[in-house]
Formats: sequence, structure tokens, C-alpha cells
Amino acid sequence: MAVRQTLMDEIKSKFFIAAKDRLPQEPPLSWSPMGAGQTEPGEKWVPTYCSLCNSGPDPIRVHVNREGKADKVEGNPNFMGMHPNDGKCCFKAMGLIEKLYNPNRIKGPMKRTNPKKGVKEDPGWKEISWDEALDIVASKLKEVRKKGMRDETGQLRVAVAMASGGVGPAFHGTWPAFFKALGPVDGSLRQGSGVKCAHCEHVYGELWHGSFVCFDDTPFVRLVINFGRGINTSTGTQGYRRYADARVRGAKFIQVEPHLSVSGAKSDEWIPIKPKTDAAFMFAMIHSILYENHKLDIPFLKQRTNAPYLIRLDNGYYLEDQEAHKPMVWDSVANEAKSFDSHVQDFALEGEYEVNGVKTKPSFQLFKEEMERYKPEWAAGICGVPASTIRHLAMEWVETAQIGSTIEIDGETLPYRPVCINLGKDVNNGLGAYQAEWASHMLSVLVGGLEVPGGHMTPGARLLETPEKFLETGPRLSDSYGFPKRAFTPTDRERWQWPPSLRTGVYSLNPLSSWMGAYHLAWKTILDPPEGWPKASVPEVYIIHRANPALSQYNLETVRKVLERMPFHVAFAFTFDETSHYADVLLPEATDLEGLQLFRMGGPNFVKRGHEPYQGFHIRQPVVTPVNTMDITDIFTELAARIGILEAYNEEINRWLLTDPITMKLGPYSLKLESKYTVEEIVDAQCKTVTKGKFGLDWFKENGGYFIPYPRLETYHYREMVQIGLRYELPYQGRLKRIGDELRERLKEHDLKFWDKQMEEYKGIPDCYDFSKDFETSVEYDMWLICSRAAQFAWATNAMLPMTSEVSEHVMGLPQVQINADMAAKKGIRNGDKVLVTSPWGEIEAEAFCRQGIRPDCLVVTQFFGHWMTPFAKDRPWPNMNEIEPNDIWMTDATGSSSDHVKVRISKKR
Amino acid sequence: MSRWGMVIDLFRCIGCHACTYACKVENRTGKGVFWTLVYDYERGKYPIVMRSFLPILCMHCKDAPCERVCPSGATYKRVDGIIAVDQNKCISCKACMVACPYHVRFENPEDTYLTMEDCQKQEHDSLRQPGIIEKCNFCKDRIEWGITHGLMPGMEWDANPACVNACPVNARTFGNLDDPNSEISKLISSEKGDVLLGELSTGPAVFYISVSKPLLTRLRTK
Amino acid sequence: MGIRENWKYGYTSQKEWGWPVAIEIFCGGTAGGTYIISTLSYLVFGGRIFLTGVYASLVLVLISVFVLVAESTFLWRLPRAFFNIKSPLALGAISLSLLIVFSIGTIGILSTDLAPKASYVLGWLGVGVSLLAILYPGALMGLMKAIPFWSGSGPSLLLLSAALVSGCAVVTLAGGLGHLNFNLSRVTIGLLLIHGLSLLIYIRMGGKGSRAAQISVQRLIKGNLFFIFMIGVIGVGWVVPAVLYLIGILSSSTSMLHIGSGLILIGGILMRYSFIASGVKIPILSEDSIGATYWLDH
Repeated sequence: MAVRQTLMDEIKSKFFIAAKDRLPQEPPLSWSPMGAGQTEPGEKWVPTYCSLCNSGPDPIRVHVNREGKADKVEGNPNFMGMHPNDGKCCFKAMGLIEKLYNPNRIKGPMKRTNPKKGVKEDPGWKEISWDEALDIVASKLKEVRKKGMRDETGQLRVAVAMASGGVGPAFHGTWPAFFKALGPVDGSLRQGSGVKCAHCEHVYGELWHGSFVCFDDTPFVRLVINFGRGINTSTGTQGYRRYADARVRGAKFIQVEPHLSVSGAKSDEWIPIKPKTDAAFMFAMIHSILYENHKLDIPFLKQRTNAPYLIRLDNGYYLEDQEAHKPMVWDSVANEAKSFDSHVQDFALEGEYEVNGVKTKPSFQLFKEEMERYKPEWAAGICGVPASTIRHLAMEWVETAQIGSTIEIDGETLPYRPVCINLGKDVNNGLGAYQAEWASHMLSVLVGGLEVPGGHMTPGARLLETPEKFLETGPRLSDSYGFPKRAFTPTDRERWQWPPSLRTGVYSLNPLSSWMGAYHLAWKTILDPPEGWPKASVPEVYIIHRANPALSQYNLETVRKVLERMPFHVAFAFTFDETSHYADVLLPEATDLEGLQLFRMGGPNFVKRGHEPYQGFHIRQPVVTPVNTMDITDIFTELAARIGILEAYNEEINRWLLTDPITMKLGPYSLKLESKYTVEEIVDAQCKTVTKGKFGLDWFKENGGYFIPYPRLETYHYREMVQIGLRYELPYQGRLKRIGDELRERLKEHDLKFWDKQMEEYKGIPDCYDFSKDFETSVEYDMWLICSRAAQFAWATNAMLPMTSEVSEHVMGLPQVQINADMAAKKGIRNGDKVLVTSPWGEIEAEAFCRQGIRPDCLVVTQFFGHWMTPFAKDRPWPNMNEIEPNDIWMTDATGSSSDHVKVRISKKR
Repeated sequence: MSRWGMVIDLFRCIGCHACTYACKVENRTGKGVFWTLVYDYERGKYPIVMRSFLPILCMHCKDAPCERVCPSGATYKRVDGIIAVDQNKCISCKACMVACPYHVRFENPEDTYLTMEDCQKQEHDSLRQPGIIEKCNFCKDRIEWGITHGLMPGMEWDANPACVNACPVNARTFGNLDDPNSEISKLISSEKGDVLLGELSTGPAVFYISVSKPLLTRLRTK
Repeated sequence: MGIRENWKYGYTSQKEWGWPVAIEIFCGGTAGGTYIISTLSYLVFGGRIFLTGVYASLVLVLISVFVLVAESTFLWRLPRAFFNIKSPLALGAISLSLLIVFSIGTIGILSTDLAPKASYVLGWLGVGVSLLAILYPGALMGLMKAIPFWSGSGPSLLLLSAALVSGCAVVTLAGGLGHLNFNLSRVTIGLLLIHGLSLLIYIRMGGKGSRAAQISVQRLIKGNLFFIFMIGVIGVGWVVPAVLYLIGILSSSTSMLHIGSGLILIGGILMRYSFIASGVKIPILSEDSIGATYWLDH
């Protein structure tokens, strides 16, 4: 053990790359001030950032004319070469002017005068002062605190929701500090979030390699297979450019999805796959590699994975040594079982071995045996893709991976495996998503392409483990299994929770995630929970920011019913919208170009694109404030003071924003706990903290921010894995199996059967079948309705902007429901016809767009519209599939996610 | 002397419409007016289908049909090759719209976007008069400003047309066609830049590269 | 706006010019034709100017100019229409204006008997500007490379024959039969036959031209312009008048000639309109492209 401690100390001293250490303390001395730009006297450019999607923030600049009005947003060329957006911004950022001056925006706080809530109820909005608004909210929260944060049923009285996709933090000011100080709140009642996003990737990516999101190493990749991922619609300015550069460099892109999307248009091949059959496709690729191709990265499998770990055939657990409880492997030279981290001359990957009377096989052997039945012919019958295509792709995968090749980066030689699979949100969510995620990771593992240059990468931080671990990328201490140490929510009898303490049931049903659970079920459990699940109470207070679950959650009728029942609802509202229609108080906080916040960018982070070879801080600042808004930080400060939690609030701000990154002690700019600070004062303190006193708010307002290089080498976690001797828990899911067995017991003890299907995922090697069959309802619903993203609207809550909408209409099929032209002809539908799309759960109207680039059995809608309250958007007949999707357990996977797939029928509207 | 031109790389373009939007903001165009836009189209029969994007704008032709037919001389060619419109002279006969092979001339509508009235740039108040037929002018104001301030259009952000700056994938390059050493001239030469509807011999100043890459559906080019 | 009508096939008709322009060039061309026919006797055959015809020409050119002005968004800028004489449109504006002047001048000289010799010069000048007024639309269309169906000198020649035959028809209706020292009815039917043949040759050549020209022709002979062109222009405007004229000439029936002349004029307007509406632009994309269409409806 002494040896190990010394080794750990050595590793710590050399490789400790906690985010706090990587904080850029000082901007470069040669920093130049804002470029002059095209200005005349009296005009100016104001630097700020855009974070309307999860690929931001991107530095932008806003032009203010001589009359003091903002009239244009551009990328900020001063950051060319320093930030991956290379001085550009996308469409959505340019629309911020429209957003700023939207005449329909709420121009001051409002309160509801009609207590009745419903779609057709007029809220009777009355304008009030900020004082009155804040008093109303504070008194309510004070009342809740007095009663206790949990109600009689054990549920939290306060529920909150904020923007997903990593967008929220860039705009929410001191939200985390406020709610930490307030007390525990329930984040279950949200809009899409993980359940409509990349949920399985978040959960399993993090489990296997600390990767909340997974991406290819675009600057070096040579083959990318996208199963539905919109790399050219949802990776932001940074992503679009890198992928364009990759294309020009000769990288090959293959798009596997039911319709020919924008991303498919820029790919070398489009493979039209049947929805929800992606896992089968990938399982067949694995089979082909194992049984037909035989090219594998054996050293990687032996050294970096649990492939050699011996699995007990009696119970499916790792065979552990008796003393240290470490997994054992078979040393094929010494011909004996040893613990995995002892001196092993050669790891056996195949065979059957008896150890102390227990029959075992290496997990790779079990994996290979399981994969035997997933032949390409089998997959072809499920996905509608020829077996030859699957085989060809498998061969191309292995050939392009260049097993054994290396590359030099910053003077160091690393394995080079330029292949990656990216999964789109609906492949990555819901039924079959875990299998797809596992298979895509296994395909990388088989060729040694995980966390190496060119391959399957991570941004580097763990998010789901526990809140305290946010943004930490310290040495991943090995647990006794040799995997990155990981905490799971307990499933043992003493500590397992039932009834669930959160409305999603995440602590009870999703042990791999500490907070992200089945958001759609949270809404459902209030109205109509599954049998055995106690009905959740309606939260007494609901606070929502930059989200619209009344449009973007499964089964909107469910959401509306719950919203109607909420006794007190506070909405940070930009315009009237479908969710704030049910609110009691509207707080128009300072929006994107009006608020003040300092934000860390680049380096290791949790939701952004990975391997960002830069890091820094950038300001978001008020450009102009044309209406009576208030900065969200000031709102929280006022509320904290009125509620009486100012000290706790300030303490949280100190801990979170104003702690010296090296000493971890309170910095010299920390707040006095008893004082009230304005947002300028808080952000100024933060500016000085991160720059060690060198630059304050004024400097940041002038220059925007700074970036310094983050070593590209640090973005490859392979190095760390090797140094610490860590392994990826692939292929065999030993921990998952054990947790699953425990959870199964707990459910049985409580006679809970609703989660039985989900428990099937807790296996050593996952099973794959035709998940599309789970969606079948009756024969009349013969078409698949699925969803696609548009770069113009993704995450941005900008559907109410006229110029944005008008330009977006140029995107093929965006405003309509897309249908195969020949299928449409069979159904008597012509291009432009009004059609009805019906599911067992509802009906929507749309306009048909007939095209060839879509499977005949599929319909596609883009984003979620269907507004009925949001000004301007409500006058457009753009469809929303959430109206006709179910919200139910059967469509939910073990992680709590679901996907936008529903079987429908389509007919011409008479 | 300069003759300004543009090269558009069709392989890079991802049809994001950032250029369309940036142009509208820069030039304050009204509803339904798109001085530059991106065609989003596909060709083929399922399952062999290809989808492509084609950014299009005024070609600033050497032998511009619109200039030729304009009775009032409102449409005129500048010495730097830009075909511009003098809004004070246009009588809205629309002959230029009929004559333009590229569909890039637009009548300014009465209807503009409903934004708060104080978001307009003051000097733009008199621009975009309803009824006038206008089109892309390569952001000549930006070019002129840049030259006045010693910046090289095509090389410097503040002297570039807005669409060139806006493109996140650097699909648009701007520069001097008469300078053989300009980036644009080199691109046209090395990548065999093509023009649209070359058989009409209008002499466009906008060239396309990567036209024949297999990803693209067939365009009608020279 | 709507500059494209159907993405699916990539071929779009121009939409900026419609009935007003058709009426304008019909009236302008017919005014020119009427003036020429009315003064032809006097200038070439030693006869007299048919004054009523000149009045009719004046009325027609005033209607033409009125439609032009009424269509204009910027009345106070209309004088600018004369400025760029390189543009056929400017030449057209000039020619129409001069036709007004020369028509008034001709009427004035004939009515007051002042400077009778000037009427000869004026007459020829009037014929000159009449020809210009007839030919300028064709010249303008001929410059539109984007619309193959209009390219070349074909439109001008077609409009010339159309204008002359319309002019004959106007003069006939104005009572010019017997007042000119040439047989107007025979000249009319002759011009009608020439015009009809020109039309057929033009359509046939268009049908063998580029794809866009073929689409134009298809729209005329079997597409959305079938009724206006085949029934209106060919049937009502050519075949029936030709038959009526034959009957009228053979049976010396003035009423047949008058009815025929009326139908010639109806056919004339329809011919201008269908010619304008059938102008299909060369597509930028190939014929089988499918594209975003939604915004095109707005």
C-alpha cells in the first residue's frame, strides 16, 4: 500500500487536472482591446456571448448606434483563432436583436388576477411593480420554508425547471446559489431535457468513461457514422466549421437515419434505417467484426477494458479474489487466475476456466458468444438495411480505424483510431437506447478507439455522479474493480428509497444518475402514476426559467392538467407563452443582451463539445435595456433578502464563484454574508477572483473576455487511464448487473411490477431485439412519426421571432410534415395539402411536404411548434408531435428516458 | 482597379441560412425579401436521393440584363463592377425583375417586421423604400467604409459583405477578381470555379467551386 | 413577391408582368398600327389620311400611357423613364410620347389646314415612332436572356404583324372601309394570315428550342394558358376572324368584317397576355429537383 500511495502522490503531482487547477488565472499580457469595428463617433460594439444552444457560449458583439439602440449582432472577430467559433456566430445569435426589441415581450412584472387556470382561461394579467412582484414571490417561499421543504407525502414543495442542453447556466445568474440556500427543490417537472435529449449517452457515457456527452475527435477523425445525430444542425458554430474542415480534409461521413436531413445532405452516404432499429444495426456490425472480420485491438481490450475479467457463470458477477475483492483474470502464460492489477503475463480473452470450483469465462468470451446470434441478415430483417451494407460498414470501420497506428500530438505519441459513431437524440433515448449506446461504445472499444486521437471522445467532466463532482476532472481514482471510481445511488435495503423522494423517482429507479431521471413520468405521477407508485403531490411553488414544458414534454394534455393544478407558479417570462399562461407571477428578467454574468468557457466541461483546446472567461453584459427588466441575479438577491436567507445565499456565491481556485479558500473578493450586493458587484468580484485581481468588471466589459490555450493533449483521457491503470467497464456490465439484482429485489419487496421491463436492461451483456415492435399499436397506424432538429431553432426558444421564422421557412420541410412522395400519392395526398396526423393519443393538423428523401413508412416533423399562446408563433400552423405522443412507463427505458417516436396514420383533411 | 467578386464553396455550405439572416439584418430588408438566400433542394428517387444547398445572390454580371433594360438608369454598374440601384431613380417598372435570370431582384414591400421602432439604424431610415426594386449590392457601404479606413475587402472583417462574415463554415470568399493574387482569383483558378447559367453569357462575378463533387445534385452551370 | 411558382420542376413563369402590361403593349402597338394604316394611303399611295383612324390611334396610345402611369408606384419619377435610351423601355416611353405628339399634330394640321405640307413630314415621323411603339416591347423581351421563349428578334416581328393587323381592325371599326385607296379588308386578311403563320412558326420554333421555351409552348398549347391561347388567340382571334373576313369579302358584308375586326382585337389582347404569361425562365436547378416551397406562397 505504501507503494500505491507514493504512486498516487506522484500521479497527483503530475497529472492532477482538476478543473479548478485548470482555471486560467491570467489573461495573456499581449491582449489587445476590442477592435474598432465599423463605427462612427457615438457608435460602439459591445462584446457579449451567445449561449442559445448547447454548443455555446460563443463570443459575439452587438452594434449600438448613435441613438443608443442595438441593431446588429455579429460574431466577434477579435476572437478569431482563439475560440473555436473562430469569430463567427450562427443564425440564432443574430436573432437576438429581434428578441431584444420584440414588441410582444412582457415589459414589466405582472400578476394573475383570474385564479382559474386553463387553456381558455384569460389570466387577467395586471402590471405590478417589481417590489410587489418580489414581495409576492418571497412571501410564498417564506411560507414554504416555514412549513418545511417537504410536504406530508415527503415530496418537495418547491419545483423548478430551467433550460436544458446546458443553456440554462449561461443565463441563470445566481440561480444555483439561491436554491442551495433556499433548501432542497425538485427539478423533476421539466420540459424535454435528458428524456428528449441524449439521456442514455449522459448516463452510460459517464459510467463508462466520464463522458456526459460523446463526440468524435473532429480535427483528426476520418470516418464518422452518425445514427441520427445532426452534426450540421446541433453542434453550433464550432461544430459546423470543424465538420466542414473535416469534410474538406477527406473525412467520410455516413448518415444512418430515416430521412435525408441537413446532416445527411453533407454526408457521403445516407442509409435510410427504420426508426428504433439502430441497436440491431450496430449489434450486427459487432457480429461482423468478431466473426467475419476478426480485426481487433487486442492490446486495448486486454489492458484497458474488462474484457479479460473472469465472470462467474453461476451468478454473472465478477470473480473476485477473496481478500481485496478485486476482479480476477486468467493469466494464460502462468495458467492461473490472478487479480487484474497484479503482474499478468498475458490476459486470456477467451476460454472457460474453473477457479476454486467456480466455473468462469472471461467477459470477452461471454460477449462474443452473445454476439453470435446478431447476424447482419437478422439485422437486415429488422432495420430494412441490406446485410451487405452492414457488413461493408463494419469492414470500413475496422479498416479506417488503423488498429495499431499512432499519432504524435504535442510531442507525445498516442494511439490513433480515427473512427467514431455519434448517436442522435432519439437513438440515444428510450427503448433500445442503452443497447445502441453500448454497441456504439463497443465498436470503438473493439478497435481501441475510446478516448484516443481521432476517436470517441468526452468533454471530460462527470456530471451525474453527485452535484459536488460537477466539473471535476481530477484523477479518476480507481475503485476496487479498476474502473473510474463512481458513486451510485443506493439500492441496498437499508438505504433504498420508496416511496420516491423526487417526482421522477430518480433515486429509486435510476441508480446510475443522481438527479437526471424520467422527467415525463414526473408529470404523470401527479395525475396517474403506475400501480404501486404513490401519487405525487402537486408542488406548492413552481418556478420556471427559459423553458416551455407545455409545448416540449411528452403528451401535452398531461402537462396542462398538472399546470392547472399548481397553486403558485412563477415564470421568468419573455413573452406570454403556453406555460407561463398558467403562472401567477411573471418576472421579465433581463434577457440575453440585457443581463450580466461571467461565464467560464472551454477546457473540460460537461455539456459542450469535447476537447476544447482553449479555456477562458467571457462576460455577458447589458447592451441596452429597453423595457422594465431586472437582472436575474438581482432578482435572486432581492428574494434572498426578503426571505431571510441572504447569508446562506452569499455563502453559496462565495463558495461557488469567489473561492481561490488553488487554495480553495475564500478569495479576497468574497462577499460579506450579511450584505446585499448588486449583480455588478458580484460579477466584479468574480472577475477579480478568476484573474487574481488583475482585471475587474470594467476590463471585461471593454474586452469581453480572454482565452488561453488548453493543451490538446489533456483532452485525451487515454493518457490518464494508462497512468492510473484504469479500465473501461466494457463489454461486461458487472456493476450494472449487481445493482440491477439489488434493485430487482427492492422492487419485489415492495411488490412493484411497473418497472419489470426496464429491469431487463440490467444484464452483463445487453440483449437486442426489434425495439420498433414495442411502438406498434394497431394496424391502422401504419406510419412512423419522428422528429428532427433545425439549427435555426434548436434550444433557442425563439419561435416567436418573425424574421427568424421567415428565413427558416427556406429549410426543406421545416414548417410541414414531411412524407415520401410516392407514399403520399398512394394516400391521395399532394404537396401542400392540409393533412391530419393521428395517433391513439390525439390528432394534429399540418401541411404535407412531399419529398423523396424519406422512408415511405416515415413522417418527419421538425422541432416542436404548435404554439397557441406565444405571440406570432401561435399564428403559424407548424406542427408539434408532443400533442399526440403518449406519456407512459412502457415507452421509458431503465435510465428514465423516452424518445420521440409514435405510430400514426396520415390522411388528407377534408 | 478592382472588380469585386465572390466564390462560394458548395462542399462547405450546410444550408444554415446564417448568410440569409445576416444580410437581412445588415440591409434592413423587408418581409419576403432575400438579397441572398440558400436553395435547399433534393433530387433522385428513394432511396437514391441527394440533397444540396445552393447559396444565391446577385451575380453582379458584367453584361447585366437588369442594367440593360432599366429605363431610368436606376440600375447601374459601378467602376468596381458592383451592380447597384439608385433608389431615387427607380420607377418600379419591374423590367429588371423579369430580366434577371437568377431571381435575385426584389420589390421592397410595405410590410416590414414588427419590431420596436427604435431598432433601426438612423442612416437606414431612407433606405428600402416600398416599391423600389433592390438587390444585393455586395454590402457596398461596408466595402467603401473599409477602403476608406485602409482595410482590404475580402481580407478584413469590417470591409467584408455581411454574408461572408456570417458564414460559420467559411463557404464564402470575397475579393478582387482583377487581382490574380487575391484569394478569390486563386480559388477560381485552382478549384475551377464555375458560374450559374453560363450559357447566358451574363458574366457573373460570383463563382461556385466544388460543383462537381459527388455530394451535389446537378446544377445547371457552364 | 412570388418569383417562383413551382419548385418541383424548376421552371417558373415570370410573374411581374400581367394584364396591365398586356393591355399597355396592346394599346401601344395597336395605336402604332392604327396610325400607320391610317396614314399609309396618304404617305405611299397618294390618298388621304384617315383622320378618324388617327383619333383612334391617339385614344389608344393615351390608354396605353394611362395604364403605364396607373401602374406606376412613383408618379413623380415617371419622367425618369426616358433617361436611359439604351433601354428599349425608355425608347418605348419616348415613342409613345412622341406618338401622342405626332397624332395630335397630325389631327391639328388636318383639322385646321395649317401648314398642310407639314403633314407629310409629320406623317412619316409618326410612322417612325409608331414602328418604335410597336417594336419596343419585342426588343425589350428579346433582351431577356433568362426567358428563352422571348429571345431574339422573333417577338418584335410577331408584335409587328400583330400591331398592323390590329391597326387594320381598328381602322375598319372606325369606318375606314372605303376611305383608304387600298382594299383594307384584303390587306387585313392578308396581314391576318401572315400574323397567324408567324405565330404558328414562332410556336413551332419555340417548341423545338430549349427546355424552358418548350415549357412555355406547352403552357400555351396544353397548359394553364390553353384556354386563353388556343381558344382565345388562335380560335377567337385568328381562325374565326379569318373565316368572317373571307365571308365578308366574298359576300361584301360589312358587318362580317366588323365582327371579325372586333374579334381580331380581342385576340390581340389575349395574344399579348398569353405571350407575357408564358415567359418561362431558365431554371437554375434541374427539372426533377424538389425544394423548400413553403415560403413561396407568402
